[in-house]
Amino acid sequence: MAGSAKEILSGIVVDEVSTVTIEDITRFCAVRREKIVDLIAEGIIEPEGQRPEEWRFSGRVLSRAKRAIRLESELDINLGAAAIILDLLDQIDELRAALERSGR
Amino acid sequence: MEYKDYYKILGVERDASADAIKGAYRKLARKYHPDISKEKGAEESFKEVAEAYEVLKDPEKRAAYDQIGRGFRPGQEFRPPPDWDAGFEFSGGESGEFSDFFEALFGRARGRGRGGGGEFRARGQDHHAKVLIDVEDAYRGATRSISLRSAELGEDGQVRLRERQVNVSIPKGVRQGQMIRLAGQGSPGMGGGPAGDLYLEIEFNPHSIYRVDGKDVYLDLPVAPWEAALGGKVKSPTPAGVVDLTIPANSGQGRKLRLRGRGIPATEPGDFYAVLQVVLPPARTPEAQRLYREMAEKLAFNPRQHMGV
Repeated sequence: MAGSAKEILSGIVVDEVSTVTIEDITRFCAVRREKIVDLIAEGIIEPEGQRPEEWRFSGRVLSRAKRAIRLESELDINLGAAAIILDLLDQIDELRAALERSGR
Repeated sequence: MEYKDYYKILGVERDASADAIKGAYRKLARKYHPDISKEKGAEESFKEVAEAYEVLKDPEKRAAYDQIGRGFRPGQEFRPPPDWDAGFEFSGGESGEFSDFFEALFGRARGRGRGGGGEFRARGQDHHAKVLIDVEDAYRGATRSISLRSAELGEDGQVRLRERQVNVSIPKGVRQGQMIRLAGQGSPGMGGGPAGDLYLEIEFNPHSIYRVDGKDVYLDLPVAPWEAALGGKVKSPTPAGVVDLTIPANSGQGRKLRLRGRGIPATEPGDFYAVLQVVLPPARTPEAQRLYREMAEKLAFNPRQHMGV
């Protein structure tokens, strides 16, 4: 676009501090709220706060939620299986990190 | 563009049943899924397989594809005839994930209700992108230029793929997997609704010498045997610059020396670890060989003693 300024955009780092709402996750994953509630029921993401209206999540849940939903559709499996796969992938990441730390 | 033979990609016959197609897809998806396969080219293969399934699993799309694809061979030059999709209604599918061939036949531009503006107010979709940075960028902050592709509704009611460049500031202290949210930089809203957000996921380029684990940074630091044995000061690179390291006497191979707070900056910064790698000087000159033999004779050292050999 001719004439548009080469401005530098700044954003907010979505952090571990729990500020993400169900709304944010729903929009981020472009799914219905019910799907996010299903993710919470499966323990794939965990909220802080007592009542659903008060629920807040850490920034890390965004990519985890998206990943679970993608596994469900891409591998044609249910969320329960997707949850197990995510846990196994976490373990693999941990093992890789341990290998890195031990200098191998 | 090139014709894609979706049946061949899934390895099924043209008259394969829906179940056969589903089964074929599942097997291939598990084989090539990027979370499961670390092979090069797996992601490309997966995209191809997913696209083939997207078309063949949907009776409408499959019928349209069969009709258009008669007589073509894979890779053959292909053009969709004008008005070919008259009578077909397509829906769904994310843009930007499929090949040009798919977009030409089934892209979001097709099957949309044309004419009649209709009052429809909605928030624009969020966009996601990955931004690759180096470890040093996390220490100092940086600016990155990102290229984004988005599907947008033009004034004529047609959906177009638009590409734009944005410059984004990467703040100091970002970590692998963190998201930067840029409000309002996603898809424009419809009917006056607000624009969606742009989320950038931070990913580190593999570095030639540093390894990153969360906030901590690791470096394999080569040292000479006498430096490890006798200890002393050596220089070590760090992402923030060269530092002096004190090696304690009698340090073994693999010993980790921690520099507190020299990892990725933060309110509570990570640590920097130099992992000692003892490197033997080569024994190629007569003098070097003489010195090694002297050590062998005078130190009486058997590293296999505990094995009884």
